[in-house]
Amino acid sequence: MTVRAWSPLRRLAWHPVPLAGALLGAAVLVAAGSVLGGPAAGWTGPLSWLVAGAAAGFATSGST
Amino acid sequence: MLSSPVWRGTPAAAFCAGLLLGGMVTAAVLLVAGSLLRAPLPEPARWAVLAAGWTAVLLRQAGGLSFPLPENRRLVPQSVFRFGRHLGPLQFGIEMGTGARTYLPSGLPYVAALAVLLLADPVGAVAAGLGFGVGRALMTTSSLRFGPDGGWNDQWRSHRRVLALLTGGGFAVAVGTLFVAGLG
Repeated sequence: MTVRAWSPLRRLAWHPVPLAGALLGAAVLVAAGSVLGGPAAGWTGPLSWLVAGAAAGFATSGST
Repeated sequence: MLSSPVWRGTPAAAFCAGLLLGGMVTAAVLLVAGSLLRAPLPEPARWAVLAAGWTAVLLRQAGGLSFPLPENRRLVPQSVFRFGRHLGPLQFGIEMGTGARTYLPSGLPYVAALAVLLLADPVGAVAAGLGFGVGRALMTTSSLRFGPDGGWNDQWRSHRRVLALLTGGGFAVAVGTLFVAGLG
């Protein structure tokens, strides 16, 4: 029988708090891209909606 | 439920694909319904309605207000899995991804739905729906990869307030970006 070790790093990577923090970070990056301009600015709308939807979806965790 | 073998391998991928599709279905429905509601409302009024709804949901979550939000407390029946190893989880995922066949412990999806209803263009609506499905798929995937003992849900419960702040903050920054950029 093989016993899998769930490493602390793996648990941290998939912990809900860092993941939610990553969503917030993604929103900040999109906002920064909008402010700074450049080719990425054209994607501000779809990316903002994507991040907003992802935050709302992740916020429902615990419903299953 | 997450200990079921359906949540491993390609059936799990089918479930996640269903979540994405379900999110986009709901977004499309909201877009169509919103096209009727938006007609009499200029854009500043629509932003004001979103702000008012968002405030009401926040007050409700903080306990300052009490009102019912539409919710289907009937869970997706296990009989959907009769469609096979991949179609079953796909259908299950679609139903879960719509957000209309599950208990919603957060008010944020309602605010997101209101935002899509009032402000999203077709590309934005698709992106929002896709994002909603990604968010739910992220929950499923991370809870499976966190460990075998169901500890992910325990961690969610333990850090509920921080998580509400982080997800609400991410949502607020994203919608704020849309507002500032005049993309609503």
